[in-house]
Formats: sequence, C-alpha cells, structure tokens
Amino acid sequence: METYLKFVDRWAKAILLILFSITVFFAAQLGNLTNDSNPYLLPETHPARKSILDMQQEFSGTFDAAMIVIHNEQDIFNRITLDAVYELTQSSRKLMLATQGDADYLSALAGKYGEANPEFKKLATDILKDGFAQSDFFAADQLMALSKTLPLSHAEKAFVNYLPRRLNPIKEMAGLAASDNIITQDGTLKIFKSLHNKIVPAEQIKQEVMGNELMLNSVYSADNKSTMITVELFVKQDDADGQVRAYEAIKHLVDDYRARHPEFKDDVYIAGVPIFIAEQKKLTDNDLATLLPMVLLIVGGILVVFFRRPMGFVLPMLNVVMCTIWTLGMMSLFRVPMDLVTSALPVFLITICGADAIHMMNEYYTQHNSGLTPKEAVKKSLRAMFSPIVLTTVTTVAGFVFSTSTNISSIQSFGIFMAVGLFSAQIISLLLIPAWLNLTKAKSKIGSSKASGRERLGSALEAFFGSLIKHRKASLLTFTLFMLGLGFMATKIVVEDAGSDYFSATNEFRKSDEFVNSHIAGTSPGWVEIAGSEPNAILNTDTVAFIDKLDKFLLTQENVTYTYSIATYIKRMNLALHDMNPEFNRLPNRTETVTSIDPETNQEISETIHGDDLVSQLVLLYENGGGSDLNNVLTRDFSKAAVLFTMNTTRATEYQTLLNNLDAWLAQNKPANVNVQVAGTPVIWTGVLHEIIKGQFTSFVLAFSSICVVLMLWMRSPKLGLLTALPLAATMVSYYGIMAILGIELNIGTALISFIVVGIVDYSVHYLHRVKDHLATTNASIDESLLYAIRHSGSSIVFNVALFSLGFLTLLLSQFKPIAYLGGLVALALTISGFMSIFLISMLAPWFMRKEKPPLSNPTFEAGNVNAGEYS
Amino acid sequence: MFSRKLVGIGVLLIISSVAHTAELTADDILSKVRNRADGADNYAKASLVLKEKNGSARTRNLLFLQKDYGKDDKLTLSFTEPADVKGVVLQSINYDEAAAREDDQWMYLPAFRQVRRIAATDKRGSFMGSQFSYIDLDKLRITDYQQKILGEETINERASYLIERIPASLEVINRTGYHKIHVWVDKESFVVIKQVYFDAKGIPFKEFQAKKMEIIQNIWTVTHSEMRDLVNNRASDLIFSDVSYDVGLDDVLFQQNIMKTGVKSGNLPKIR
Repeated sequence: METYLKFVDRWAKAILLILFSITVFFAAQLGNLTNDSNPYLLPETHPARKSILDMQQEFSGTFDAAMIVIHNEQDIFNRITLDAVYELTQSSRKLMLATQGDADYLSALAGKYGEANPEFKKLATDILKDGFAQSDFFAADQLMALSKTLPLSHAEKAFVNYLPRRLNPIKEMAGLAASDNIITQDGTLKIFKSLHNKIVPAEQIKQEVMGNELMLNSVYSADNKSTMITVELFVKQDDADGQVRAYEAIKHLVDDYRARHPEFKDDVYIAGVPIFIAEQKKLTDNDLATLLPMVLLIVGGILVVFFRRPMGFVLPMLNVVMCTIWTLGMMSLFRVPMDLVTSALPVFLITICGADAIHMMNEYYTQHNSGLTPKEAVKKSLRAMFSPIVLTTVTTVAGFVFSTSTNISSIQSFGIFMAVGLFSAQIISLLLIPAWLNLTKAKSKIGSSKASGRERLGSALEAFFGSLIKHRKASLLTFTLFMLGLGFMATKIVVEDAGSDYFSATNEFRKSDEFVNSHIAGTSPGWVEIAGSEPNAILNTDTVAFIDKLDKFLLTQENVTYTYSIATYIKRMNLALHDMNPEFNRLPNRTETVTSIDPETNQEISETIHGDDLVSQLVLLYENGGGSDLNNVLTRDFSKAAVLFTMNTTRATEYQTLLNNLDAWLAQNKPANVNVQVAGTPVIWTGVLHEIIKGQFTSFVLAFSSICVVLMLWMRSPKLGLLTALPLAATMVSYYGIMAILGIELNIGTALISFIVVGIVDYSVHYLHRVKDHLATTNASIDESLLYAIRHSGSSIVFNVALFSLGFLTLLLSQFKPIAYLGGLVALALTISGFMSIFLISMLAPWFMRKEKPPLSNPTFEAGNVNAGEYS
Repeated sequence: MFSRKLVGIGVLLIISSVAHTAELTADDILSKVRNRADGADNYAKASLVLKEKNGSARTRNLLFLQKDYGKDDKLTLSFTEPADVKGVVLQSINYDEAAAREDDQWMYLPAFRQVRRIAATDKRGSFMGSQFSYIDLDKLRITDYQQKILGEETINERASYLIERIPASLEVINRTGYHKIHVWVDKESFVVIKQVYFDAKGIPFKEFQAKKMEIIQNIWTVTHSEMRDLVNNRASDLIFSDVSYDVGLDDVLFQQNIMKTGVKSGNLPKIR
C-alpha cells in the first residue's frame, strides 16, 4: 500500500501523461471500430436462423419482405389505385440500395488490397466504372469470392458480403401486378399477371381475381379496400443498414409517385419484418445519439451540485469517459464489432464505472474537509478505499463474466468488454485521481457549509435506519413478508418480446404494422417445409392432402391470417381445368372417375384414374401454361414443399403459442414418409428469446456463487462473504418482482439489464467495509458501527444511486420502449441495490458479525483508521 | 408457339452461304436466322434433361414433329417417358410474323383425358419443368425487338455477331419476361449459338448455349443445347437424335385428335 501511495505521489505527472497517452492511443483506434448490424443476435448457424436460410436455397418467396399496402376507402379496383400498384411494383423491382458511400468504401478497399490481389482491384474498378448498377451484381458476387483470401477486417468483410445484395436487393415481387392469376375463359387456360398494363379495365381485373385463394387476404383484402405489394428483399438479414435503406427507398418511391400523381389520394402503409428492423435500428441509433449526451450532461450536473468543486465533476467524468474510450478502443483493436447489444456498452460503462471514482472523491473531500492537505487526504482516502474498490471490481467483473456466458456471442462480448471496462475504470481511478489530486495545491480548509449537504443526508439516513435497527425484528419480519410477495410476483414474470408494441402509438411504422395486421395478411411470415426423400415425393394425393390439412389447421390458429401452398395451386388448377366449376375447387381424390369421348369410337367412356396422376398433371399444366410462381411452394424436383403462413402479430408469446400448437398437431398428423421443419419470423424471434432467457437462472446462480466465493475469500470469512452477497440476491428477487408488478416483460433488453444487477455489490462492500473497519478500530457496538457507517458511507451510496438513476431516467424520454426501459430499470436496479445493501446488512449484521471483531493489528486498515470523533 | 425450327434454341438450322456480311444490319442478320430454308417438315427424338445442383438429373423423352403450312407452321411434341409424363402431348400453330396473330397452343393431359387450350399471351412458363421457357422455343421474331450489332466475338472458336435486342413493347416484355437479350449469331451458319437474357434490372439471369452442332441433310443442326439459370445455377439440356428433314409427315399428326390417341408408329413415315 505504501509503495503504491509513494508511487502515485512521486510519479503523478508521469502517470497522468501515460494515462492520457493511452487514452489518445485508444481514441485513435475508435475510427476502426466496426459495426455489426445483425438484428437477430444469433449466428447464421443457429438452428432458428439456419432453418430459413436453408429454405431460401430451395424456395423463392422465403426472404423477408417489405409490404406496401394501398388502402382505398371505396374500392381498390379503380384505375387510379391500380395504376399506382402497377407503377410501384415496377419501380420497386428496380430498387438499388448501394450508395456513393459504398462506392467510396469499395474504392478504398481496392486501393488497400490491390497489391495483395490485383484481380480484386481490377474487378472492383470494373464495378465502380460508370457508377453502381444492378447489373454489377454478379461481379460483386465474384468480388466476395475473391475477398476470401484477403485479411479483411470484420467491417470490410461485412461490406463485401452485403454489397452484391445491396446492388440487387429485390428477390421477388408479389401483388396484383406480379403474382400469377389462374383462370379459364372461353375454354382457354390463362395464367398471367392480372395487372399487366395500365389499359385493362379495373372491373375486368376485379372479376378475374375475385375468389382466388392464392390472392385473397394476401394480394387484396376481403373487403376489396386494400391491396398489397410484397417486395421480397434479397438484402442480407444481418444487414440492418441495408434494410434501413430499403425502407427509405420504398418511402421515397411512394412519395415520388404521389408527387407525380396528385390524383392518387389513397393511404399507403409500409410494414414487414425488414421495416421493423429498419425502424428499430433508426430509433435506437437516434435515441442513443441524442439521449446519451443528455445522460452525461445530467450526471455531470449532479456531480457539480453534489461536490460543488471542479475536481468533483472533472475527475469522475474523466474516469468514465477514459474508461469508455479504452474499452471501445480495445474492441476496435480486437476487431469486436459494435452490435445491437454492445452498442449499449457506453451507457452501461458510464453507469457502473463511475462508482469507484465517486466513492474515492467523496472520501477525499471528507478527509480534505477535516483539514488534511490534498496529499494527506489522498493517502488517507486510498488507505480506506483501496481494498473495497478492488473487491467491488473483482466481484462485478466476475458477475459479468459468468452471467453473460450464454451462447449468444454479442452478449458474451458485452460481458467481456464490460469486465474490460470495469478493470480499466479501476486502473484509471486508482491512478488518475490520486495522481491528479497530488498535483493539486493545498488550499485553506474547506468551510463546513460545503460538506453540510452530505452531512445532513448522512444524519437523515442515520435517523431513518437507526429507527429500523431499533425495531430490527419487526423490520425484518416486514421485509421478509415483502420479499415473499416480490418473490411470488417474480415467478409471474412474463417472458415476452412485444415487437411493434415497443414503438410509440404514434410511430408511423407501428401504425402501418397495425393496419396491415388488421386489414390484410400479416406482417410476420413463417414457413413449414415438408420434405420427402426422393424426387416427386410431394406430388401424390396423400401428401398434398396432408399439406392442405396443414393449411386448414394453420388458418384455425388465432393469429394466422393467410396460408399458401402447393395444395392451393392444385385446387386452383383443378378449378381452372374444369372451366371454373366450383365443385372442382378441391384436391383430386385418391381415385377419380373421368368421363371422356373415345377418339376412335366416339363413345362416352368412364375410367377410374389414380389421383396421383391428376396431381402431377395439374402441376405440369400450371408450369406449361405459363405459371412461374411454383418455386415459392415446391422445389424443382418436387421432393420438397413449403407452406407459407402469415401472422398478424409481432408478440413472441403469440408466436410461441402457434409453434406449440403446430408441434402438437404435427405429432398427430404428420405422415411417416416426410420430414417437417418450421422456419421464419416466429421461429427466429422465439429462438432469440429462448437463448437469452434459458441461461438466465443458471447464469445467475453461477454468477452469484462465484461472487460469494470471491467475497468470502476476500473477507476471509464465509459469513461476511454471504452477508455482503445477500443484498444482491434480494435485489434480484425485488427487480424481477417489481418488473412483474409493473407489467414489464422479461425480454432481450430487460434480461440484459438484469445481468448488471448481478454484478452490483459495490454498495454492500463499501458499507460493510466501513462497519467492519469501525468495529475493528473502536470499542463501539455493532449497531453503533452500523450507524456510523450509515452516516458516512450511506450518503455516498445514496448519492451514487441518485446520480446515476437520475441520469438514466432521462432515457424514459425515448420513443422506443426498450430504451425507456433501459433507463427506468437501470435506475430501479441501482436504487434497489443501494437500499438492500444498507438495509439487509444493518438488519443481519448482529448475527453475522458478532464474532467478527478482529484484533487491532490489521495492517491494511490500521493506517486508514478513521476515528468517529473526526467526523462528529 | 413451337417454332418449326426451334430457332430460339438453335435447333435444325441450315447452312447459309453469305457474302458481304460486313454490311449487314442487326435486322438483316436476324432475318437470315429466321428465314433460312430448312425443309418442309422435320422429325426428331428429343431428350429434355433437367439437371439439379446436386448433380442428379431427370430425363423426359419426346417425339418432335414439325411441318410447314405456307408461312405458318405446326408442331406436335409427344412425351414418351417417364411414366409421369407419358402421353402428354403439346401442339401449337405458329403464325407468320406478318399476320401479327397470337399463336394457338394446346396441351393434352392423359390423366384427365382432356385437351386444354392455353393462352399464348404469357410464354414465361417453364417448358416441362426445364429452364427453357416456352418463349425460348419460339421462332425468332424480328419486329418484337429493336436490335443493334454490338460487335463481333468468337464463341467456341466460331466467329459470331453479338446483337443486342430490346423489346419493342410492354406486350413483348409481358409475354417473354425478357427486358434485353444478347444474341450471338454464328457468322458462317446463321445459327444462334448463344443468348443471354436480362431482367428488368439489367441483370443477366439466364443463358443459352449451343453445345453441339451437326450438319444433317446439309442443314446445320444444333443437336445439344443447354439453358442455364444464372441465379440458381440449375440447367437443362435439350438433346436431339435421329433428326430427319423432309420426311413427309402426315397432316393427321398435327390435328387435335392425335393428342388423344397418341402418336403411333403407324402414323409416322418410315424415316430414312
């Protein structure tokens, strides 16, 4: 300890220089910090994502789609609306999302890696020549293949992977001007796009599509007031920036069309999974960019008000800013990207990492106010604070590392870099603050008025907790009942992800999402793949009947609005082949009696035909008749089929209900000769939620145990270790209980916040240390020592809690609920933790500390002994 | 719908000795492709091979019968194997381009014992599940496109013209699905030896290649062609064998009744 004290005294300037140099070094790395916009958190190899990615190799129509819904209060089948549908379909098909920024980036890459791979440079130069065009898609695809031999950074690799699909972002289109209609007119089978020009009369189009199950509730609504253009995006799922661009581009197309056609007055809604992701990213980025500085400002303001001295503001702020720069700089050095989870790191680093500095500054000012010179005050403060500060960091780091040990890499990165941040903050605070203060010139004794605020707070806390201590048993009983209630409520917490409900009610996307979900189709698509073992396995009456039954089952489910499969096509073809006779709007039976005129005898003959042949030939007729949409539901070799279903919800529990029901139904109804796999939005989002939630309990137990062990070892007392950790357990129970009472669901965001709670043992450690110290150095009773500690550490704890809670409550201003929850719940967690630390230790100390009074020779604290008299 | 020459896929083309080609326009070249003399009728056996990405393949065998009727021509395709397509017959009448008349086409489905007329306004559908669309089997139509020569290239060691074709109307785009075509025409034979088809975004999505050319009865004939989907990388081959020209095919082979009764050996002349 003494060596350290001498070191920070003697080398103060050098320490500051080194710290600032390191900060400058890490700040210089920030430019290389990469961004991974993967909204799904899971890698592509995770079963929940792999299932749909595999299907995308087999079926068209399986990519996430933006939905443009046009609503006309009278009837969409009028020429003005249809013209808009036609033009928007054509223009959407030609969208291109690569920007000048992408061109500049590619140009820089060509320069950077041109020498290592001249072919890469040549191809990039060819692509850039004459500007980007969709036709550069294949060249960009080749570029991606060539880049595999180059040492690209994460960001560069992502860019090269995303570029081909940004150049050619549209996979498929559906709608009146893009989907096949199948009819028979005057004996002629017609398979065609109903809206194929601007000439066909609206009434004719209406007649042609009416009752077509392939289109009803998907292409047009049952009330004929809404029609939907489905723009299936080829943009990579991970490319949230690309999805933001797609959203903006589609909005621009609509605005541009309106500007050119003032007669077009219909309402237009844009929704769908990519739009959800785009809007979420936009709001999150925007909120973090605008609200985070506000948080910093408020935290800074409170520091000024509380300490009323420049250093009281400068040093804690410098500490958090420097540790944030160090952490992000290290992420950059290790090529760890900022993603949906790690983008919250700065917020968390500011919350957690400032605590040490504030404790130290509070102690310093207490010492300084007692008349010590800055150097003496520094030494005395460090002697008192060193051990608890290091201990709290060790336990918090352990909490983060263990509690984030899920198999979601971005949460792991979050845990690791929170630990890195905490460690950095520790180093910085233990060096920066004493070194800086040691360079401060001695001033006259600070007037007592400046300290009176803290003292008044200390006295108030002493009075409050003193009365609780006086009625210890009653207080504990009340507390126990209270905890039982909260514990019970904690078991009632709802695991949910509310999707679009997280957006404000006035949010444009949410309104669109709700409109689409309540008027036509649904914004959450899912697929069921039925796989046979050999070519043609699907095209038989039994399998097609199973698929039809599956369609019908899905339609009975509460949130399923539309289904579409090979069975739908076969029924429609059967209808068309029988001159639209409604009796034939069905699947062929296993055997059918077919009547015909014998061409040689001209006699009418009836024959029994195998239904499998009928099924095969209806498909053949569809393809040969001009149909081109079959690959949406059937593989080329007819070995696999896909059933599309859309859900009119974005809530995870509703997805889960459907998936559970579907599993149960498949267990009863699936034929033995096929395999079934479910994929799509419901599977991905419930998968993400499961991954996060499933490890919650075990990782808490692991983290809690490890913290207990660290505390026990550090305190050299199992009882004291347990006493320090108990507030943590109570905090967790209260946190979940209060969340349940407030109706806040456990989702990706709130689960992440709970990881922090596991690590917050600062308050108990500081408080207990003060009690232990006082007990060791005076003849005071336990309760006297408790009250002493409450008076002196309590104000620091309350200040710490208030400071960050108030700062983070600013996030409640966010329009995006997860961000608002982040602010509210961080404040809640800190407040609970602060209260629990003082309360529980005060209540339980007599049982845990009775025999803990150590001899007066403890060297660590001997030099820092604080006499109660000094403060009174 | 089905061209008597299957010019689009480069089948059954004759040698044409051409002098002074340097002065030819794109329209001239494509007119030569379309108007080559190629016999009054022809007969062939054909195999349509549907190749999957995993290397597996399914083969559909058929009889190919075509006959000129003035400036029109009629075609009958009768599938013989495998069982799931046996008995399926496709028939079409391809009218003279100057008549500006929509083709007629029918399909016979043996399981339903029914001949169904199919509208020819949209020919983007897959030909029997292959990468060939019906429009690819059509006789080349000059006036449907505006075309220009982009240059000359050597394809498989054969000198060829490269011509760019842009659809002349929305109707052509709706019927074909092609927003631009690049055509390579062999300078010596005026056979189309390669075509690349572009979508609305200007992205090439399909490619035709003549894999094998033979001279049969003094007519250059593409006996093996491949159509490859550049997006999913699936391909289909169309392979002709026993090709004969001017065999005197009976009119009965091009009447609707033959679709129901099926083409029997007695309906066919003794080939060669």
